[in-house]
Amino acid sequence: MCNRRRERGVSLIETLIAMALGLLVLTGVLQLMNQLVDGNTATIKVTRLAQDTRTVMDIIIQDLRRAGSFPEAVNDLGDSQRFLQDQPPAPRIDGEVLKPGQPGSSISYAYRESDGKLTQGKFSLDLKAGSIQMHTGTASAPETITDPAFIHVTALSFLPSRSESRSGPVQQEQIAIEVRLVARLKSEPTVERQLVDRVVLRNPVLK
Amino acid sequence: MSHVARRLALGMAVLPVALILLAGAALILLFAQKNLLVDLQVTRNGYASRVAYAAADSGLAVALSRLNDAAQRKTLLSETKGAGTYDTIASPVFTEILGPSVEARIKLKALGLGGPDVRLQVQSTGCVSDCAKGRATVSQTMAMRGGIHQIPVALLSARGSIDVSGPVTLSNQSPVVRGMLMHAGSAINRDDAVQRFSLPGQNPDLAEIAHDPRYAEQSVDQFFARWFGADKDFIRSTAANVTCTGECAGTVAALGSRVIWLDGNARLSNGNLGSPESPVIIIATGSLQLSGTLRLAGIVYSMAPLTTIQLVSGSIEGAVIAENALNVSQGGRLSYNPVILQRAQSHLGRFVPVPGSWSDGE
Repeated sequence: MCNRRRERGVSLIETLIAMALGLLVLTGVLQLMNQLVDGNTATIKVTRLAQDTRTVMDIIIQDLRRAGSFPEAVNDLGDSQRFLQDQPPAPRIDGEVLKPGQPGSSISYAYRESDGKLTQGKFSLDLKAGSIQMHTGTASAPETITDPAFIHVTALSFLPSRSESRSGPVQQEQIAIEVRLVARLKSEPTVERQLVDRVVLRNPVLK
Repeated sequence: MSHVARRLALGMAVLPVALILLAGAALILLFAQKNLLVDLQVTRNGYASRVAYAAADSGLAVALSRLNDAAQRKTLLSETKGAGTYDTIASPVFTEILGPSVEARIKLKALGLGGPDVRLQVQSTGCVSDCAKGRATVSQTMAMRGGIHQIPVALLSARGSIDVSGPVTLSNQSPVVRGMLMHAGSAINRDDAVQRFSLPGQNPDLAEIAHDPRYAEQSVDQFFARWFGADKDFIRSTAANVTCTGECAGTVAALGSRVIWLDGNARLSNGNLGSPESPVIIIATGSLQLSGTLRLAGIVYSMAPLTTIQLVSGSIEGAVIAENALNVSQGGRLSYNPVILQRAQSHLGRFVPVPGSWSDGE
């Protein structure tokens, strides 16, 4: 009798309850996994957005910092005419002469490298594609320094300030630029990052 | 399989599946943490790089500050040939600790030494944790703006007239400036009691230039800029300023070996102002009288309408420049000393960064 009861098997109700409980546990675990995957993906995207914007800002700051450098400066000392001739063109914002407190979305600048080659650079925001373009040299095509498939740059601005000082008979203009960069994820426009940095151009413009 | 075994088997099926899924979730969690850790490392690297850059820039500022500090400059530059100019870099490499694990390694390279045109290239490498975590190099050329831009070629130079009388001794035996004694934009008057010593065998009359239109036609400001290479306001802003009327030798002596801008109607009549090793440059704006037993080594520039030198037993080693008329009488010995003048130019000069010379990279 006892053996027969044992051999009766699992009833349909027992099986269904077991399956339902199993499904419940499985659903919970899958939801948790889903959340983790979503969270992880969002973290990766935000991290990459942060890294990309920071890298772009570093490129801009580093290149702007050396604007106005020219190796002939040392030999031109004492000859203000030659000095002014050799000096690379002063930075311009939106193609205009810098006006303190007046921001613009593009900046052009120049510096001469030790081999005498003049590097004329320009950072600008291509409004159509929402990406930052970097122009280097005189004839080369602009290079996109942000990934347009991933980042949409919504704002890039350059706010100049300047102070004047004198070193003997020469008037020096020290320029500082505040760079503001706002970018958001292409896939999730709500995820946005804003970076603001300030760079003092190490080589003053002589007048 | 028995009934009990089958029931147990049913429970055992759910558990491994759940465990596998949980293990997967844990792996994903760890992966997310790894991303965060990588981001943290990227941020740390970026921070170290910025600190290194700031340290390198600070190194340039430290080097400039040391070069412009009289006491510290002696540890960096030295004059070994006794010609009055810096000819050797005493410490071509030094390290400045800027904070915990942050330092600037500074290298000085001579671009011009041993003459009036002193130029140094300063290369500064900012290091974080002994350059293991962050490293950046910047360089800039520093040029010396001399204590005086143009060294006088005559013992006495005046835009106006020069009058010398009495037992005064004038001496210039420097062949570099052909023993020139007096150079005036107007007349030079002297009596027979004046003793003049120029180059051996040279007629002292040939050591005088009177009525030089290059001096006479210049305004007082142009005349000043000719010597100092900048206008009066700028030189005043870089000099040690003192206002004094009456006997001022003590006040001026207390300032030491410097470029001194002296306002007021001053009389300097005793003591030592400067020495051959540490000369002074005095720029006087008021009526100036150099008299008595004063012993001065360096350069005197006077803006007075009439500058009076009445040294009884005193002496001036260097040169005197008057913006207007100059009167020397009664006695004393005035001698042109090219080494002291050179020293006044270089030792009292200030280093300034050359605009356009800043660059980064090794």
